[in-house]
Amino acid sequence: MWRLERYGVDQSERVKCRVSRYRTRSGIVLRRYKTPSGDIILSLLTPDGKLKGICKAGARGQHASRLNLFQHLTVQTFERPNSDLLTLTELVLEGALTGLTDPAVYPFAHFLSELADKLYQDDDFVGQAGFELFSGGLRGLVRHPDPDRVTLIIAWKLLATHGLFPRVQACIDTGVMDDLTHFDAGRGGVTCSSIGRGLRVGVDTTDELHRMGTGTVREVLEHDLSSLAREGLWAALEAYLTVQIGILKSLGALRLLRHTRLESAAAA
Amino acid sequence: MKYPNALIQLIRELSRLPGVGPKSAQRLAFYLFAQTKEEVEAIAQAMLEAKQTLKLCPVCYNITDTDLCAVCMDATRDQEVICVVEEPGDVIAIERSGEFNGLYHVLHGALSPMNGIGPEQIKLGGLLKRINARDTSPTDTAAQLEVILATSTTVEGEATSMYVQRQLEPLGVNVTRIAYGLPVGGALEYADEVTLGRAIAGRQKAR
Repeated sequence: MWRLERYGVDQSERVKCRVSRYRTRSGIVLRRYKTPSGDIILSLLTPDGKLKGICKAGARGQHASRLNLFQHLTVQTFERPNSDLLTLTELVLEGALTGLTDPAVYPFAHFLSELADKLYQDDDFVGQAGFELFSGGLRGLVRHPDPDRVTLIIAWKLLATHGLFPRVQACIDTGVMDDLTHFDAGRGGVTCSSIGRGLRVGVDTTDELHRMGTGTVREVLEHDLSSLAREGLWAALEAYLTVQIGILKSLGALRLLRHTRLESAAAA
Repeated sequence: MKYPNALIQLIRELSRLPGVGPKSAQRLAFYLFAQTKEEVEAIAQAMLEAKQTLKLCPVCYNITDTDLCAVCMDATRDQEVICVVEEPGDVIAIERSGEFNGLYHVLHGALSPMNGIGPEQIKLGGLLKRINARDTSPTDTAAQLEVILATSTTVEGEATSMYVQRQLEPLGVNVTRIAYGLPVGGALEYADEVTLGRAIAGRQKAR
């Protein structure tokens, strides 16, 4: 205590310091890892940022059902000195989307979660808009008849909220605004057919990308999308993510699901 | 003071074990040092022998030290029921209950795309082969078979259960899921809202 007094901190301030080690935050579970000793480590996306916490004996205890992927939790965290992980002391379940376990949407939900987890580093400010976008995306996966489209839009929009949306208004080499047929993932923009650098995606795809950059999720969803443009958007997204944030493991399962969906649609 | 190299190496190797941190590894290393040479050799021998003899049962993928595991070899068990679990440890847990006398199939994981675990990474192909093989036999048909999905009740477990169910549906197998509910001996007021909700949704006629 004498040290604190030397720096002009009185007893009441000291009590305040102690209390501030506890914080209550609300967020969605992005990742869940069970340790061999039954502890659960969670990554949560909150409007304040991403947090990583451990729930001691979580797999066996009273909180086991709350410590699940994609669930919206309010948690009380305790910050231990010299520890990277916060300790989760209290958990309240705010909401759970049980429909996300459906094999038709499950890989999409994993993809969005992994993307958000990689996009936001610990204590990166997410903001209410980013949080609402992600949580709305998960809800959309369950409720919208086209989860593939929802995932596509939310993924591009998440990149936009993080300031990583590519330059799509004009060709990044010539500046022309017409005939934008290629997507250059390395330089993060579109190029016109005369330059032709990057992935050939077509004009429909670059138009849709432009719409995503300027319109709301609802506006983009309401617009008709050709299957060619959809495939172009996915190809551009995969290439862009690989360059900007690295390889996402969930893309393997996602490709498999999309392939199966395309095959069944073709058969129908 | 710097530890001798052999001790550092031992601590490093022990701390690679799951659930063993550097402090526990150090404690274990000092414990092993205090044991007689014969006792340490017995531990090392047991580890080597386990590694050499243990393998996966080619039918159910449970851990075994023989060609087939004890459950698959036991002709007295109900051959018409297969219980699908995530891990070999789950087989032991169900066996301890004494309520199940059928066969098992161990998936060795649950679907988790963000961890790189997709349908190809779990041992589902083996289960489909098992069921298809029964279908070709004149006496056994898939329709007589019941598959109990006993994957965990986490999101990953639920998704795996639904995926397996979709894969088995075209084969005409009777697929069931283990029940959700309250722990025996647990008081209702201490049950969490999710478990309680599932228990009420899955209520049964009083017997």
